Amino acid sequence: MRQTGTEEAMVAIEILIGELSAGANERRLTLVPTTRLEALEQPGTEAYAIIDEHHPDRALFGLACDPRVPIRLAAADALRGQDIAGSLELIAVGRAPLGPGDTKRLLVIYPYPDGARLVTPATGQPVQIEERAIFPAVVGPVATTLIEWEKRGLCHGAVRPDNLFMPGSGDKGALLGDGLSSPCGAWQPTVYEPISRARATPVGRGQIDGSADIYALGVTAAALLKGATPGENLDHAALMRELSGRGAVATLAGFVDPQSSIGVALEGMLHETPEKRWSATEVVRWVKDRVRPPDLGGQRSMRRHGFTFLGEEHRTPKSLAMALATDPDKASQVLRKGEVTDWLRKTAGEKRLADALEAVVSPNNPDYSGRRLETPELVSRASIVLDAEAPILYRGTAVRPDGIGPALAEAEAKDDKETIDDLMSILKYGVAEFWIDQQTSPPAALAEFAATLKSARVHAKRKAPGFGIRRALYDLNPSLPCQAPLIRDALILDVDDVLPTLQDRVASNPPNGRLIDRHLAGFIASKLEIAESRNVVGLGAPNIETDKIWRSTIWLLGTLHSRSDGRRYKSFAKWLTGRLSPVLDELHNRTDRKTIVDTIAEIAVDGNLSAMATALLDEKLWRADAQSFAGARQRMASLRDQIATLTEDKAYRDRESRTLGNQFALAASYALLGFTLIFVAGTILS
Amino acid sequence: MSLNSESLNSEPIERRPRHDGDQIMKLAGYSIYVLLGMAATTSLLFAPGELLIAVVGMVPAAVALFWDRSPGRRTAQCVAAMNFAGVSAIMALAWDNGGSLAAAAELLTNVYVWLVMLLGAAMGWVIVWLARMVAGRVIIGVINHQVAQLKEQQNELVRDWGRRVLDED
Repeated sequence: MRQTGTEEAMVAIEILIGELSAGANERRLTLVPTTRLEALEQPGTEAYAIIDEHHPDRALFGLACDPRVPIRLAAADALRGQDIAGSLELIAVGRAPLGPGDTKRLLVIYPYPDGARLVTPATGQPVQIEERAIFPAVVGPVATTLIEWEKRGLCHGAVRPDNLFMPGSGDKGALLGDGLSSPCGAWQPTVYEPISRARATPVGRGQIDGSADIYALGVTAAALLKGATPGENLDHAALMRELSGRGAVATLAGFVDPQSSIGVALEGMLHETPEKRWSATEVVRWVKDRVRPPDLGGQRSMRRHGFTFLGEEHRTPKSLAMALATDPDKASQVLRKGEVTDWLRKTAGEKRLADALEAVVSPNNPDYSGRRLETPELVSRASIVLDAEAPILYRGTAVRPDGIGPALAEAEAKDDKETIDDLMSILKYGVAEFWIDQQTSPPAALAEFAATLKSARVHAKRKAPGFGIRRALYDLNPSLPCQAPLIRDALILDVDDVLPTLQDRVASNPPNGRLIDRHLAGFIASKLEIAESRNVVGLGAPNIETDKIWRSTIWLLGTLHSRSDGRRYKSFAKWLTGRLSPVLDELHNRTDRKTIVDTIAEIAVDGNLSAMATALLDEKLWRADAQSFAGARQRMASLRDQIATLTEDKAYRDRESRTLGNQFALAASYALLGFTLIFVAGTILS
Repeated sequence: MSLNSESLNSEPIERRPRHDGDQIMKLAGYSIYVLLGMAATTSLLFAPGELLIAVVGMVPAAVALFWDRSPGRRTAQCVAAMNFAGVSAIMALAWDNGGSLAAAAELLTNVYVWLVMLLGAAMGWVIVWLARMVAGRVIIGVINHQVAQLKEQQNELVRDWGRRVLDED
């Protein structure tokens, strides 16, 4: 192991999974960032020396993971505190600042393995092991270890020679290395995956397929027997053709005598069909007692007329499924004309498949809610019907349903818009759920995953922040750290860490515009299981509509705070108060506005974000304000009309003047008449 | 006066025909005709000279009554009242001269007699004209006061609700 560092700069590790105490004391693990251990690195990780301050004599190392793809946190949690013989003991999963700007990285921490990898350092090729030693040294111990993993409902996902460590002394078998630092099978070379998984994007191979570990063990055994990676001269397409045409045993272990004990074991371990593949227990029984499991039969021979597509004859539905995906436009034509259905029904004798395909092609399928399937979806569904074990093929993307999340994370990290579109289409159109429906006996975990897919589909269809792509990203990757640029370097896994981190960020480097982007909204909405978009839709408003943006922001922060443990965020609340003017300006009544401003200022002193949101977004207050404002506007219009009448209506003014003038004149005339009559009468009488 | 501050403060101005006032003025007009008829009958029996003076002298009032078609005929009433004031003085002269038709006819040949009666009617027109002018000034003053009150109410609304309350959709 090469140690590149000389200066020991220690960094404390925040333990997320693992024993938090060592005896009576708090456990303290520290990272030595200057001591990189390249010999222990896994693909996509960097290895560093770790020191356990309570056991300084125990050598540990940590794999710093790629923060853009999810690691297997749930599996790590299941392995907490358990030392499974035959595999590296998981000491802890932690978080520590590492790299530029103290960006945090997740660390999967193990003890130094006893022994060296089963590869030749100079060439990277597997070491060669004799046939008589392969069972006691590798196949038996690794299968026994896989049984322990299976008992915990886990698969390993990284069984290959360069992840096996052979102790230098004693009669111990090979030790399984890390299987947690990346999505299950994400870094496995294609040759170590069964064809149903190998065709998928590496990170999209899915996590729920324990039998894949046995297949990988079979290929590992073949590689160690040969002293080279089998099929290494074949490119991906050629390998797929060979595996599909000749089968895995012939392609990868053709050099092994099929009658030998290892030949029999390889035939069982490399079976293309997961249900017919040997289990880990069956492998161990064969290794120990040479007890062969009942033969479940091989693949049915297809001696019949094939279906010609793109000039090539395909004798099996699986072969045709693969070919259809290569040219979706032409595939769509033959599918819509019913040619494939006819072939399945009349020639291939596959009535069940024909009926299923007919339902897919039918425009009247009630599952489609009246929409006409576009070509990519049609071909994808047809391929699933024809080969239910293969990954979902959608345009250029191949993925298994439980691998959509990691694949989406990788595509987001690479800003690969085409793949994101494909994955979202698979999700939104229910193709992933259709894939699960087509499985004859899906594992229980996969059936449970269908419920996750369904809710993710509903959320993915919406466009508001907190939904759509980012919601799908976090719904389908529960262990993916929040990727929002503002807090990405803090490696937030737990939604309860969002508010403290935001408080730190606005204190040190406050954002100019929005506080919550679509990543952060998606992360929070996923963790809080927010189902309605009306309160968060403002986060997507144009920059000019600041009132909507901050209204939704304070709602989301308030909701987040309401579920926390009562911690107060005084500086954050004060900062937020200064950003809420646009929202307060929307409150029409100035008296009410002043009251709310005063109230919020008082609450902000206490740092209670939840109370701030409640006070500001009081629906009764806003409704009453809107109604009163409407009344005020009516009153203003009435006053405006009255003034116009008084000042601009000359006819009205003249009429009033004449009426009043006539009244004056009449009174004066009668008064004068009265005086005159009295005077005349007086004159006559005198 | 139909404008008052209370009505402007609360309700928009309504332009309604004034039915009640019209009725009263109509009745008043009829009463005058009845009184005039009674006076004429009495005068025909006991003072035919005064009656002649009145009939001839009130011609301007008759013309005004015929011309004025406004509800209540207030202008005509005003002219008639002042006309009668002038005529009453001449009737008193006729009374002094014995009240005969001959004495009355002699008086009617005097141009000053005519001047007094017609000036009375003219005075009625002058009063109407002056009263309307004064009333016009009064109305403008009232309107200005009421507009100021309404604008103050508008300012109060703006103080309470901000300038957005002025927006017209």
